Amino acid sequence: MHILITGGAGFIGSQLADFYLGQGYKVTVFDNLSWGKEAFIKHNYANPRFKFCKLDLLNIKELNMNLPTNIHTIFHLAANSDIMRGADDPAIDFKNTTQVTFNLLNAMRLKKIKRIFYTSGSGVYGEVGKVKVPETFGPLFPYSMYGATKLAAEGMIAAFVNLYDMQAWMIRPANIIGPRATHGVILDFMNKLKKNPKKLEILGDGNQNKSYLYITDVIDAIDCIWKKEKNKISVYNLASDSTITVNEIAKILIKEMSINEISINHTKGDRGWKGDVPIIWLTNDKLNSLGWKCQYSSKEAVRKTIQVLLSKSL
Amino acid sequence: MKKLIDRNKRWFITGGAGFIGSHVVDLLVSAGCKVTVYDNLRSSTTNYIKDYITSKKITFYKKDLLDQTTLRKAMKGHDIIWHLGANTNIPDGFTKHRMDLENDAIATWNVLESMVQNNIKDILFSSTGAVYGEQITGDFAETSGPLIPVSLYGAGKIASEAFISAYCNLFDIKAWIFRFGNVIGERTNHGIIYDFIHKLKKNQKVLEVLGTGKGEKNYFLVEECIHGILYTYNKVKKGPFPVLVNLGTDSTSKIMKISKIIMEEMNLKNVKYVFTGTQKGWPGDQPVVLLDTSKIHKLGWYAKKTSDQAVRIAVRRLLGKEKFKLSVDNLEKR
Repeated sequence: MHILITGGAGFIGSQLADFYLGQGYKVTVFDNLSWGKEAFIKHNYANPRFKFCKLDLLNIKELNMNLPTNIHTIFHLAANSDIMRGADDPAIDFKNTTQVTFNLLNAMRLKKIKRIFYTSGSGVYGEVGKVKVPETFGPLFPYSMYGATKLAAEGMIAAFVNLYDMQAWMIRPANIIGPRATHGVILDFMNKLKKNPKKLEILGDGNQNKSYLYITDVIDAIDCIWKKEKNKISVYNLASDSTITVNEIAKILIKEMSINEISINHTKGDRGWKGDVPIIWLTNDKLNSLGWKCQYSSKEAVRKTIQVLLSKSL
Repeated sequence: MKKLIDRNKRWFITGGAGFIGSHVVDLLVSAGCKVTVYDNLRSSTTNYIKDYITSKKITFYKKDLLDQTTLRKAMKGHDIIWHLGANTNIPDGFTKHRMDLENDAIATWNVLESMVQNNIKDILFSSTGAVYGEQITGDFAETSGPLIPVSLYGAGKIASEAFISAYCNLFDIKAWIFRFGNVIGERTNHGIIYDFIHKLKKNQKVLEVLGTGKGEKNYFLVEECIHGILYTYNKVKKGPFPVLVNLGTDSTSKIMKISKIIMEEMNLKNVKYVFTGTQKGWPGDQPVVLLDTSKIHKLGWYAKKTSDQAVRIAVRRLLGKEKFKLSVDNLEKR
């Protein structure tokens, strides 16, 4: 069976490629290498079932030219994944999340590819407060262009599914961490501490409280949903059962880096940047009922990620 | 409540030559407001606003929302944006895919960008009940989810809503979003009432109905729609933003009832029905749309006409049996 992964040289995509190659699938990867890295996929270059195509989904002509016809499912992970950048330049998210999704759907229509697995994000929910959010929650008022453009992409996928008899699985994951992560709070802290181990600046009051998922749990969830969910269109939250604050993450990191003396200061306000949502709690009930269970709590996921990143293994 | 229209505000109407937009212009001009209309005239004409243009009562730009440079310049000096410009032909999205993306999502995004650059805060946005799609059981409430639209029109509106929401947070935009039922009246150039009338004018013996004839939707008049928007804008001044309400009636009209009203008003008898038989009228059609309007009821607003009453009035206007022009004087009397 032949699958295609957009953003397949990125943090999640490359590990999904590894996983499905290991299961015997034929895997084609599209990536423009803006966030993705060849270092994450080049170990697969010798595998005859693997193909990499450096391609930008904004380039419609190239997309249509290179998209094979016999693809079973497209795992669509390509997107702008840096929420902070969207506040300075909203066009980044719009082009790299909404427009590329539209281009991909249109290309799928022409090539008669019928299935798409989309990684949306919990950013579609916006700021909901201290409530557990199910997939049926509304209204959706995203706080960032990242969340807004993901929501826009969800809408377009739903319309194409209906108009062209496709099938779509959409997941709204919490923060995903692990090896090959290209950005996020852990990497940010780590880089700051490598520069200056005596001082750490935390964006916001550090009480931002969210769920973190370890990458292997995410891959398991994607596989579980893809194989078990038969509905034409489905939406799943994806989070670990616990949450952790930014201050706690800093504490774990400082301990793992064996730093003893350090001054921590916080920037003003309750959030890291405009578009950040300090608290988001997702319910996992729907996914759990499919048989998925997360292996790592938020705290364990953070510690494991830190240990792996410090040992620099990919 | 005091007057709904602040005449000291400078209003910028996108899609202001169209069906709803031209009624908005009638109203605002009658109130003595400064009005600018920005419309590419792709699905409309200047018919309803040309007198205002020649008498310089309004400023008119025949320009596209995709032309961001012109849009930004034209928007300068306004206080409030009434954003109605969009692709309004839902079936078209099936063949012209990029249209809904460009004319809804990208157009709205351009409007928001121009607002930020011109430091304009207020926007009234017309969304649609089509965002709710088909996965929601029961009536469609603002809190319903997930939103799984079945048309690109619905998808484009979700995209627009989402961008507006992000801009409210990122750039302190104040937005009032309205998910409409089916707005009817004169000046429409599509929709089931318009279609049936035109078919029956051509052939008085046979009426072809797309689908099985079992559809049921809520219809309300354009002046009620505009009143509801202005009412909410004045009532919920302080947010939190975006403000979101369903806007329509809580009653519905069945397709067969609509055809009967039209035949009565056209004095036609013994018309034979032919059904195309497909479950949906067209790809992307939603045969039954039931909008939960309890949120706007709680704000104190109700549509005064039932759906069937509204249909009859719209039919009479389209047939030329009744004349109507919206103004400050008849807005409250609606």
